[in-house]
Amino acid sequence: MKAIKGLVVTGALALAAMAHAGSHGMSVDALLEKAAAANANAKSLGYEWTITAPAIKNAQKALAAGNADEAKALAEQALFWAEASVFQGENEGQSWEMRVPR
Amino acid sequence: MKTLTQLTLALSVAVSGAAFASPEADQKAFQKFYESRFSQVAEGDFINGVYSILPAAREQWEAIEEFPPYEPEVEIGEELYNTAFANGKSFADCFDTPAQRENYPYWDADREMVVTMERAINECRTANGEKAWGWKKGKIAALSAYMSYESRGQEISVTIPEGDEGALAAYNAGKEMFYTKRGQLNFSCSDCHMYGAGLNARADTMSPAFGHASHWPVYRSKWQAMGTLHRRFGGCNTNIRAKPFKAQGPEYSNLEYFLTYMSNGLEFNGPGARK
Repeated sequence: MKAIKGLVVTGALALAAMAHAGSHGMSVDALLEKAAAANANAKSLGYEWTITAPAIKNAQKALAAGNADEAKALAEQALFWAEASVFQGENEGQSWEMRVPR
Repeated sequence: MKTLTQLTLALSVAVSGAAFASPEADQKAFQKFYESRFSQVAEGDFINGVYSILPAAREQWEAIEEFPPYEPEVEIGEELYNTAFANGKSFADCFDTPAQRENYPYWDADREMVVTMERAINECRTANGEKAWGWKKGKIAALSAYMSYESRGQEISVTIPEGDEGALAAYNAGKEMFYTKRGQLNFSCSDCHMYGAGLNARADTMSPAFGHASHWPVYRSKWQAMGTLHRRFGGCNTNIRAKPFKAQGPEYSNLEYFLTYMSNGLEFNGPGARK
């Protein structure tokens, strides 16, 4: 059980690292553009999360209000959620089958 | 290494076998799952949802059922059913009787879509020059409540017409929806209402999915109103932070098709009252 928990945590951390790996040094505008594209992809797969679009909007608002640090943090968060939802959609395309009782 | 390969291969075959099993085999395995897990539940009692597995909560629910909160809605629904449209016709011109639950959902091969009873209600309205009602609550829920009340005791007997690839595809899409994890919380319908049935999510016990489609629409204390099954689907998706699909769209209609087919053999007992 401990080993499984460890594996899940490691996997989650790896996912988080993957999502952020491509965002270092990006401007808030670029982050938001990438997040919006990923969220649109998640939507087309049928896996959009409710929290992503509001996070993008909040980042845009913070940017417009001149709160650059807050805007960047929110944009990074939105990008992470958007990419994670795409990962979920691509992964679930196959793994749902394992839950069907026999 | 050879053993591991063989094991992986066997597991893959078993998994893909279940994923693409026939609807009949799916239904048998689905019902067996609940009957084994909740062997104390009397035959046919899964129509009572979580109250079939929680004796203490059942007592309270039965007390509520003495003065059912959906009763005024049933009366409003009856009035709506009998009120003439502007063209002089009424719902009685679309349905031979208000007791229609047993006929839905069904696969319409001509239009290649699942038709639910709520869709049939609104199609009756638009065919007679009236505006369609909203899908989730209000008048459609009231009329659906009346029609469900009149249908009590009918057997759930959804069919997947043999040899109809469209019907099978709709069924399989509903099945995939049921077992697929969604939202930030990464839950599938089956996580809560199959493998988690009987366990608690915060202060609430999660209900078994066997029988889920029997008792709609429902008066939910949380809503303080009636709501349709698709309203509940949307609420469940929102709870797990997944963007809900449109009520009566193909996703939820196919899910209703699958879920109702899984409960074949049980009785319709709507409308219901739930927390």
